[in-house]
Amino acid sequence: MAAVIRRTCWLVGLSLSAASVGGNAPAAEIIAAITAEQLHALVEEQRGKVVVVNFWATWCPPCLREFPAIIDVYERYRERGVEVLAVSMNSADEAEDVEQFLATYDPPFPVYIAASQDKTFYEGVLPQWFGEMPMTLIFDAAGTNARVHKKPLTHEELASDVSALLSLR
Amino acid sequence: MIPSKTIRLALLCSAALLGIPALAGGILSGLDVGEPTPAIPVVDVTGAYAGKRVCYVCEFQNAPNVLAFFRDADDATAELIVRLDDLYRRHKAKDFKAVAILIAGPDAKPWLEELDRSYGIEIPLVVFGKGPQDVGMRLYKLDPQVRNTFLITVNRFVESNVADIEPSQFDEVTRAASDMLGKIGDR
Repeated sequence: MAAVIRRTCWLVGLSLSAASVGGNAPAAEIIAAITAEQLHALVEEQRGKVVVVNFWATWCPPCLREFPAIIDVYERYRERGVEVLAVSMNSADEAEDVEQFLATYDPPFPVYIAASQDKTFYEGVLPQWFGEMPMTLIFDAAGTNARVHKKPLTHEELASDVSALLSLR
Repeated sequence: MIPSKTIRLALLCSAALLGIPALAGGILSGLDVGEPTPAIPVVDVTGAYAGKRVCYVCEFQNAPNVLAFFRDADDATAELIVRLDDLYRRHKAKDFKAVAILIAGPDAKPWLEELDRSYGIEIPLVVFGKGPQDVGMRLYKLDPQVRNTFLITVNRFVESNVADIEPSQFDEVTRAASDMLGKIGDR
């Protein structure tokens, strides 16, 4: 898995490979921009695990309400083979808001920012996605997109999905 | 029936050439019926998130709602917002939502605050953060020349589009919202 990406500054357009390999010191201090293709590649790297990909934004109230549940489920299930990738849909000029959000929640999993906030990104992630938020995809151990949730998930709903997919491994 | 087809085609072409989208079967401004409503951050002026950037489309989720966009901070807009607020009050028990968005941007903030004080508006009054240059204009296909656009939506899809109306024509919005709520009730 890519090194956990921490954030003290904003750098849109950074190549994912540089950020995820973690070979360069600055990579551990930034939020990396990610394209839909790179996101799919990251998920593919996790084959054998259940991968939760959550799309959120600081201006999306249900996303903020949902986020603690995602952190909690990750902490509860990570030892059993669950990974979480969080992707911010904020634009580059909302860096301060994102900083504040991450400082508040301190997510223990990698956080990225969408390389673009448009149809190209949405459809690249999922052809049936037109930008509803929050949006959560859950991939099974085979790397198949097993669940699509275009709504905020409760702790129980997410735990139930993750648990069910883990049991299929 | 070739003659009538020809006449119809000629009428449609004339309407299009004369710039009358309604006659040509098009819409004046905003997303068309059946199109999805994407997330759209705005700056909240009087709502629950006053002073912050917030996406009311995200907040409403699948609830039936009216997204109302206004070009001008003037008397006609004030009257339409008051009527929209009244519509909201009548149907809020059915989880109906509404938001009024001034596309003029942050300059309209004092005007909205005054409107809220004068009429005790319950629906959130918000502005596009970047005014007419905001990404919301493109995302929602808003025509900057059109005075107002009402998108009546449910499950994050547009059910009806009513645009460029006078306050006296607000019944069109009321009717569209009632039809939508009626359909939901029938399901």
